[in-house]
Amino acid sequence: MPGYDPGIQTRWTPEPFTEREKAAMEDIDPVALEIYGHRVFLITWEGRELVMKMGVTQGLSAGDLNTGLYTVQGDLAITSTGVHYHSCTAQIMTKYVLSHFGDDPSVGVKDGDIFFCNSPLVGAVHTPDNYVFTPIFHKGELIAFAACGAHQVDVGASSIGMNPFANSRFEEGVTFPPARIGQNFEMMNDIMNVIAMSTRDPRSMTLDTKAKVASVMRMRRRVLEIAEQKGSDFVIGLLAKLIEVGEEQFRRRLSTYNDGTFRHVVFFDSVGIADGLIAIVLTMTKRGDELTIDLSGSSPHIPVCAVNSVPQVVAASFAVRVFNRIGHEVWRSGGIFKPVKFIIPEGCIFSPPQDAAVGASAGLTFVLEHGYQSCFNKMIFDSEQRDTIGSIPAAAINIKFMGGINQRDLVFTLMSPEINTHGGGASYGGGDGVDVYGPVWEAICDGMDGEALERDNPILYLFRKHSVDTAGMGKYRGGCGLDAHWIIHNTPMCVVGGAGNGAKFVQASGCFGGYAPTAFPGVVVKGGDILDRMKNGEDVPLSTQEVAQKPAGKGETVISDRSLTMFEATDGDEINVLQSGGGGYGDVLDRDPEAVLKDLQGGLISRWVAENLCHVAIDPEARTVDYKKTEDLRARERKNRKQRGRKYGDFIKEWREKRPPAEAIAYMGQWPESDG
Amino acid sequence: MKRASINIDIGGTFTDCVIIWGDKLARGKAPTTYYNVSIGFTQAIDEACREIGVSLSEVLKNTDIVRYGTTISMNTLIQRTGPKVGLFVTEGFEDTTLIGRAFAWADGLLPQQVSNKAMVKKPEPIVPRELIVGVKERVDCFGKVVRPLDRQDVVSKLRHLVDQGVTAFAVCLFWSVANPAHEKTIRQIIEEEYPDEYLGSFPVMLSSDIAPVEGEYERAMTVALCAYLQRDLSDEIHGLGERLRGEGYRFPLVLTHSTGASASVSRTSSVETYGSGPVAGLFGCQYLCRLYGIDNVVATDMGGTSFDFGFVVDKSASIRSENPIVERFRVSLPVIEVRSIGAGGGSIAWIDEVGILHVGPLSAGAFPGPVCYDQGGTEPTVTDANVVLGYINPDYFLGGRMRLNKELAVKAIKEKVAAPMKMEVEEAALAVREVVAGRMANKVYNEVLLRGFDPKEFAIFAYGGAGPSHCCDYAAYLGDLTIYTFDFDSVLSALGMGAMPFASVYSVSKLVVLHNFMMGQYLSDYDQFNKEVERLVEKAYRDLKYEGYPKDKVSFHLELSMRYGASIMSTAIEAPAVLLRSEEDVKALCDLFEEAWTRKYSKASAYPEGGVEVTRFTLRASAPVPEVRLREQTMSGAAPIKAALKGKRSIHWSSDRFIETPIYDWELLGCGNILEGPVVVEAADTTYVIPENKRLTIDKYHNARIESLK
Repeated sequence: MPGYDPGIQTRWTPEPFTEREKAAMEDIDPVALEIYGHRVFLITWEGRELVMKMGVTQGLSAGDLNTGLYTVQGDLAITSTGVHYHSCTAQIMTKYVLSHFGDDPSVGVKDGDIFFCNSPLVGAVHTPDNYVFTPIFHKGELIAFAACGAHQVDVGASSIGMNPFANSRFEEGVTFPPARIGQNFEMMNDIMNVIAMSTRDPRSMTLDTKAKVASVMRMRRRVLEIAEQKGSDFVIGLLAKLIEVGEEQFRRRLSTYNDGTFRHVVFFDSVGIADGLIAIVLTMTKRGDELTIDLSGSSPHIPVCAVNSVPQVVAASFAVRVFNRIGHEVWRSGGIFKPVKFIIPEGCIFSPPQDAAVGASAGLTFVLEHGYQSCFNKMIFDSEQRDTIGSIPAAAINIKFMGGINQRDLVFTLMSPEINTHGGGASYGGGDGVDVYGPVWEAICDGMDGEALERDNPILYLFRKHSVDTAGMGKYRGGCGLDAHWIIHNTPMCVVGGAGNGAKFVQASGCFGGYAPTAFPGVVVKGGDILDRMKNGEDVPLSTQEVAQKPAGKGETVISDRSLTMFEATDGDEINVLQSGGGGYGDVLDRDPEAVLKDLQGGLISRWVAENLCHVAIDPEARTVDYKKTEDLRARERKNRKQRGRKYGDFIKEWREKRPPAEAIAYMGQWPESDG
Repeated sequence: MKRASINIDIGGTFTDCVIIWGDKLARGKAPTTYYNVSIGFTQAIDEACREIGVSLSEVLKNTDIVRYGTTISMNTLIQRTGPKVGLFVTEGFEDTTLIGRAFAWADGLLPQQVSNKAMVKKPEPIVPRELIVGVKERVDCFGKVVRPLDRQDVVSKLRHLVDQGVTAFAVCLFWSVANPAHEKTIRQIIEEEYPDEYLGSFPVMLSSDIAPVEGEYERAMTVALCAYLQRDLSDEIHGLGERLRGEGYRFPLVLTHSTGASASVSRTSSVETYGSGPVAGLFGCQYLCRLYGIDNVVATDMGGTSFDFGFVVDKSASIRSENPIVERFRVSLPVIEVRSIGAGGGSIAWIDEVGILHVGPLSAGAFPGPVCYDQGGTEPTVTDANVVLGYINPDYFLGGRMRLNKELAVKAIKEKVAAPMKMEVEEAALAVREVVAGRMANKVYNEVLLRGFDPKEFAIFAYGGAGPSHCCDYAAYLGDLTIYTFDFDSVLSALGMGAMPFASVYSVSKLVVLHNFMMGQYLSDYDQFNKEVERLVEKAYRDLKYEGYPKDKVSFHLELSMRYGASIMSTAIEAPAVLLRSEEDVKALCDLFEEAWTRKYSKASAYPEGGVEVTRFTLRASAPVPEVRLREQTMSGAAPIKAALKGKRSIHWSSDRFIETPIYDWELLGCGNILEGPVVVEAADTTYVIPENKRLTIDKYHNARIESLK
């Protein structure tokens, strides 16, 4: 039995090409590469579209998934424009199967096999991310793999969705290392039944897994069409070539950036069971066309909750930053990993022991993405990719899970698609960030229509609109997040839980003087009378701030962390799903006063922010900017800034004396050494 | 007495006209006159009248229907010349149209345009935030009022909008599709507060009337766009109607819609006219499929900047998209799908940092255009490649109306493609053609497959200025499909309008469970289903009666959007009958859905145990119009007349071969003529490029079929 293989977990760097691959690559000329490279990309795109159209779980329809094609050695050759967390991690699974089952007569890797995996020990981001993959044989020879990974709502963990309170991986639901769920191109219902019956919503699990199977089988068919037309060698050579080209493109870009060591320290503000800070200390060293990513100094793993991450997710999150920003024109293959060396100390929060709970593994790397972006901002400031410099959506997650019986007396599970509605970051090239843009892990995700969600789930939105004051201000401001609020409506029974971070400590960065977006707590109202107030035609709260600040009527308003212990909810209870904004760019005092006025009139910022942060004077009657007064206000603020300034030595001395409360750094590791 | 139909496609550059006059079919073409479209409109009709030898007034007096498709809505959107629209929504949802389901920043853009996430933007809103008001009310998914409408609140917000100069109103409340009462009350309040005599006639449009389907963003955008586009459309129609009536036409003008419907202006939602020209072109292809007995076709239109394509399946142009994109906004409208990618004669060829050749999506456009236009363009294009290879005659481009500079084309291809790729200039030009063909074919292939069809079962219709020059290349990538080209392709959309039956299309959301997940039972209360259909049928009878079609002339087709269990997305099927009468009918629908699902996705993924549900009803009511008949011409032999051969030209057909290639004049080729490749045929608007092992046959309608030599 192969069991846990720690060596596999870090094999995201493409394997050296075999002699066969090298010979096959010789025949791929630039024209064939362009045409068939495009074709295999469209194959992965087709695979992704299929899952989005077939999926039941909101995550699937909303695009929280990805597909990819992999070489004969299991390396990522091409991936669709989806969540690269999924496509970059699937290669760990293909390599595990090749390494451990390829020659095992009791398993083997055969034409028609369909594998399932959701084990974070073998590639998965966390157990809710379920993967299906299949080997592709042509004329009896393995020529490629096709894989699809997507986020399920429920995998039978000790609470619906991901369980932030899990103490170990044994509380994180059904966990499959790579195992066959199909042979000879047919799904095996006994195994599928095991998986489905291990969850709270077997129907969704069954339909969604079938969608993934259909996706990989469709990709397989398309690859075989090319193989039939052009031969096995062509496919083997093409996929290997895509890795080679991806590497070459990325190396060329790296070589144009400034050499140096770039550091960024960010903090994750939840240890699942309680508030607390986790340090993420990133050092990126770039020399020539190579890059070292070092996470030394980051907090140690936490044995009592699911906040730990895993190494393959560190690498995948790096790919997200490359493919979505600085390397957006680079072929989306594993080739980008070749010039990059990762240092992830064993035992740190990114490389915990094998029994650690890792449900929130991606939550940690979403914050790490800010570190990558910040280091790149400094590294590429004077390069051709300068327009990509800026902030990115906040890594503050506010995700809610529900399950029970819906208004049509059917079993349902729901994961709030509002997680796809963060504000975008401001940038040098693009100016202001996009309001309600998408998540940090992949922007093209769907926030969905409220009516589509109310149709199948027992919720009633109280409001769903732009949020106020969530964006980081700057010369260019970040985009605002979505402000949305559920009322439980028409259910005989349901439970609600949640996971998240960023309730108290900012989980994002501004860029070059721009402010970070704001932190917002989780808000829940239990036993309230909101439905009665609506029925009676009374005024109701129209923003999260109003819900939190002006509790009215009956009920208890709970303002807390965004993680939420699962509780039984009844009609009239209120659950908040507000999402954060993006970071700003540049000095807020350089922001065009007219843009500030527009923000205010559009309900994106409060008067307080306009006056006290942007230092813009607005005539409330005329609804115009008072330029003279604004100039004075800004001049005064510049003067005040100088007065608030400290000499570097004084600042360091004062800074070193400061110390967060003991409970906030209980899990952080050493202080102050880990402050970067 | 002859009875006529006049069909006009007002395009961006030309206004095309097809008149069906008894058994005659005549064509007219005139430049589109933006300052007053009625001028180009009547010029095009005049030209067609001259072809049949009858005066305009004589034709108009005997015309039953004048149908036309217009780009006025597109122009209004691009230039943002619509009126100030005020939008009423439910309180708490004021930003719905600005949010656009979060990913609105990507809608309507090419993948390349959205790849750099630092640069993306959402479109400028049609209704700015200050003109959107939320009113105190709320309805749930069953249509139950959970918060009554506050009349005073509506009045105060209405005054706020009027004070800001709003001259058109759109209303989209949450779940108005389940209960439109509050929307209707708002309209009533507006009419009471501001009667016609007070402010004049301000349109008030309700989403529950215009797009009674789920999805508040798409529904709100649909009604907002309708309110925004209606004024310019009405102005245009008023001008055209006056002119035609002055010449003797007695009926209302009829607009063609992107849904495949036609309606007089009073029953047309302006947004339905957006993109109606290419859809009419697809109906032209549908007509030709039926004429030629071809089941499945990919209709491809390759022009200067884009490659548009659509499908005719089972001889029917009926593949719909429920939420198409209008400019950069997603709407609720069951339009006939036409897809587009950035590939055309003007697409620019470029080499990336690691030496890979790309073509497009950037285009040199009409100005400066390809380098060979000699208008200042510096980037090599597909047209330049065609000139380098000898396919396009620099002295006979656009029938000789424009002279091209071959030397410039050679220089550009040489410096910017051949040199970096270490190729000969002709080899590089061939590579440009190959890449653009591969790109187009890949996209078509992908879209055919996504709809569950096999590309091998399709033929290709190739039109547009660059279509016949490249169709053999992209057909080869799709599996060596048979190609058809058409003598009248420049007026294909106008012809398609003439061939479209008079139709109305209605869509409504309603969840009906056909097969219950928990209980495993089939629907027994057929009224749930039938009442929804009957409501649509009644509406169709009423509307078509208004257009002059009695009940006995109207036939119906019902399309159902269906899903398994609680899936978010639906799959469309055509119902065998419009009403349910028995459990067998219900089972038949479930079986049809499973068949469609299996074809699209796979048998293994079907899961009927999960429950089968209808989510949307789309009813198409149609009535016949005068039949289109293409004139058959006299057949001549397989060999063209001598005069048709213009001469020979040295053409580069493959990386190592120049061939002295015969060049023919399309106008002088006769019906029945057969040409074997390699050969080039020059027409006034295009050039046919027929490589070796291909045969071009001209049929009795002077259309061409291109197929492989076996």
